[in-house]
Amino acid sequence: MRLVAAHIRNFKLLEDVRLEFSTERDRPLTVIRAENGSGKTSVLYALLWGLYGPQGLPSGAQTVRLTSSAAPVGVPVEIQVIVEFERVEGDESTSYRVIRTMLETPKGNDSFERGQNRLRLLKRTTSGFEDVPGDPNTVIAKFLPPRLKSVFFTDGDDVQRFISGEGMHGRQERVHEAIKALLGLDKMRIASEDLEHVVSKCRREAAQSAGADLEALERRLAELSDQIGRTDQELATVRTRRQAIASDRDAAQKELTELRSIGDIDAINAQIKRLEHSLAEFEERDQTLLEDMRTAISSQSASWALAGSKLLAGFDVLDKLAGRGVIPGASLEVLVDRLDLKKCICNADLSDGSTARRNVEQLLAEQRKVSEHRGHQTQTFHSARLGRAEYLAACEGKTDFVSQRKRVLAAFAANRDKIKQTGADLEVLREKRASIDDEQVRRLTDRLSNAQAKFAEASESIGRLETQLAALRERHSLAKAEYETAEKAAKVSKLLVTKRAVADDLKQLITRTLQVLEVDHVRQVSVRMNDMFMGIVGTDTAQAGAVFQGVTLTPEFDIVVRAAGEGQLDPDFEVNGASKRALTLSFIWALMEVSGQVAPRIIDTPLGMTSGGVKTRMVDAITRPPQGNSPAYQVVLFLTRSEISEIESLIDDRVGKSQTLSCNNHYPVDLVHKWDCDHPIVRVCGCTIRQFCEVCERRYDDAHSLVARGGHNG
Amino acid sequence: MADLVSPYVLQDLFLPRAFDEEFSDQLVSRAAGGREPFARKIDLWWTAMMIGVAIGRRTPMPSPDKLSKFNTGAIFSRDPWRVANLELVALAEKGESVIADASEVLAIGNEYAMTGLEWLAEELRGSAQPILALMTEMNAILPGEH
Amino acid sequence: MSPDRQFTTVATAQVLNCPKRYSEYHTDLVNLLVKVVATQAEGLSDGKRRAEVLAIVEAFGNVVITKIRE
Repeated sequence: MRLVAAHIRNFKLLEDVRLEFSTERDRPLTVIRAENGSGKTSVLYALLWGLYGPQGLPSGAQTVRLTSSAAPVGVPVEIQVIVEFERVEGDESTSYRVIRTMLETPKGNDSFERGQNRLRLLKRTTSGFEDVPGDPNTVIAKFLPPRLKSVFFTDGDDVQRFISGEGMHGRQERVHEAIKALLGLDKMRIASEDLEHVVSKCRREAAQSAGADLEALERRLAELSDQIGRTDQELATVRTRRQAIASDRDAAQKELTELRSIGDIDAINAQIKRLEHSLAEFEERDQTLLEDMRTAISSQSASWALAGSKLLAGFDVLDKLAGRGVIPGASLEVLVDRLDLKKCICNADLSDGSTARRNVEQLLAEQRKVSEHRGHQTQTFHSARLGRAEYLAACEGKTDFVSQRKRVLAAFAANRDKIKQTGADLEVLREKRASIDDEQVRRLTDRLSNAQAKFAEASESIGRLETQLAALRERHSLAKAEYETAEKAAKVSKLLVTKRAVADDLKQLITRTLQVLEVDHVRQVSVRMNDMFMGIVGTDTAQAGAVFQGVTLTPEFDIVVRAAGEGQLDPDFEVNGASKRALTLSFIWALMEVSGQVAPRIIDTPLGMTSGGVKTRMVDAITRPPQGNSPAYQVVLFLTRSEISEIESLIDDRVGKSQTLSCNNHYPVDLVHKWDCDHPIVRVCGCTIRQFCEVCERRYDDAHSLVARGGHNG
Repeated sequence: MADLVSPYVLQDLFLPRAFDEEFSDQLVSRAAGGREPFARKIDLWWTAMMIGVAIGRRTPMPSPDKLSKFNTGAIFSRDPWRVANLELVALAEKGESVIADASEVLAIGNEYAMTGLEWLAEELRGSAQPILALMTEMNAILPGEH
Repeated sequence: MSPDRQFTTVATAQVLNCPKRYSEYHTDLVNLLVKVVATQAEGLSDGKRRAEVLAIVEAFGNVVITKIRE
């Protein structure tokens, strides 16, 4: 099916827009050039609505008003979309026209009243266009199945999301649906079930005619068939459930890994505890050092440090007195002590009766005769002498106040640095811990563990069911052989036997055909998809750290991206935007080619996130004319000027039809010319990617080297 | 050593009233682990005196009405070495006979203390961490350190 | 190749695994299968469609009997 033209009236800002689509085999591309906000999405939606009605629109858009926001309140507006398309059946091409019309009356505040939408499907005959018999919705659905609309009508972001966004399970489902629909495999499955039903009926009829024994065998066979059917169904259900569990498990694992990459909560808590302990120790040391400072400030050592020269000068005065013998060389107390101890400071023996003792006693007696003043001087002298000796020793041993001060200040500064650093480290760790929601980690761990248990359980069920199924199939096979032998022996009517045999043959044929188609087609699609994808991105060096080795469509309908070194890339997280788009487009194109499905491929801004070589190769791949006997196809791209940039020549080679959409909302900021219209509207003109006109000229068209096209239409 | 202290026991010890009111709370506290550099006012007075000696200048005492008594010389019994050092300072100033007159020794000490208190007021006014400030600023007056 | 044509091509290859009840049996079987699949295009209910498939098979059964006897 190929679009030929569309005429859109009063759909959003598309007041009266006619579009033409290329149906040339060698120029399969139609370009609709349109900047953002110029009505691209409206055209896409109009086509979907025209073909499928409101259900054809994305779910969020089904209840939104379709008339322009500028339409006057209370005035009914007729919305109409006419789509002309052609279908090639065999060697014949037939033209059709879909006309969908609906009245919508704006009621203010974006509310509206809608009439029924009326649909006509007409076919061109020798006498003009005639209504096609039957329900137009059914016929259109046959030509272009609605469940494939997201494959055929899409925007660039949808293209990206097809491959990723809901994990492997979502992707497999979408891929499987696309394959089934495009290869028509569902029809065969239904035919297979119908034939199974016929086989059973024929067999029952044959058995009934032959008597109770054969009937019993037939009933047993029928029961086994039923059991196989039920077990098969159960197996499919459990497999689907296991897929869903696997998706959930993978999602939980991913979330948990992300949380854990912030850091192991237990390790972080342990680190925090250690740092808190260290901080407390440093703070305690801080206090100790301050206390040390206070003690030092008030010490004798500090006095000597500050006033040393004055103290020494004073000491000299007393020392001279001592030198002259004016004050004694030893204090009275010391002399008394020494006499008590019976030993002199110089270790001389001062025992009773000794000469030394007598000398000291004489000295003591003389001292006691010295004046009180001298006595005081003596006290001062001896105290000062001790202090001086201590000071000098401390200076030598670097335990004097000056040395101590330096040490304690350095230690204090270093400790303060440690406090600061530890504080900062603690802050970082606390923030880190706060970002790990313990509760969430626990929940995810539980969820993961549950999912793993359920997965194991489901795997076990699958194993059990597969064994059961194999056993049932074997029993069925034996029962069937037994039945057929008995049927032969029972001399059932040949007609009945033949009918049953023919039905059986048909059933076998369709089963085998279906199997081959599925496996074979999947393989063909896989190969073609790989060729196309690698052609587009094979040398993509923007994909950091990974070089694509290829892509495969697996028998389980998953798309697997192989990277260098036997690894795989997860399309959800490890493939960049441009590559995701290339992957989806390659899959769709491959599927279309293998299935021979001819349907328009309409993509709104497909080239976001692509540039340079990838962009060129992508456009080249999706617009390359079909080779040899490959069916003709049609691709419609909505492109902005910047998407067109760098690939103008390629587009020139491939394009069969071009138009440009513009919206007068963009005047005067972007559009150069004011239109003769007082309300917002989208117009189309026939400008190609190289041209501009009074309708579509934009302020920066110079940058794209566009030339003026005479006049405008639209 | 008790004899060393006894001439001073009845001598009064003073701080300028203005200084006492402004600074004593900031600079003196018995509690350990605080920011105050001095446990007792005698420690403050003593360090001020030694600072005055290091600076090398004596400042006359204000008039008695501008002084507040904080203790007597009996307080020296806790640290008798202070008496010896005080007398050394006086001996260096006035010679051997000065230590016969405790009040004269103390007068010399007070005048040096006034100098030191002025310096402390200047350097520590408004300081959030006076111990640290004092230990650091001492650099400027320690002989041989600047 | 259209889906229909692909189906026919593969069915034509797979029919070789079916017994050959008479000389054109394989060709007739493939054509019959196409007819069975085509009943889905008529928009009938499951019951009615199966009845139609049964009728197709029964009619063919008669043809086969005749051809076998020839």
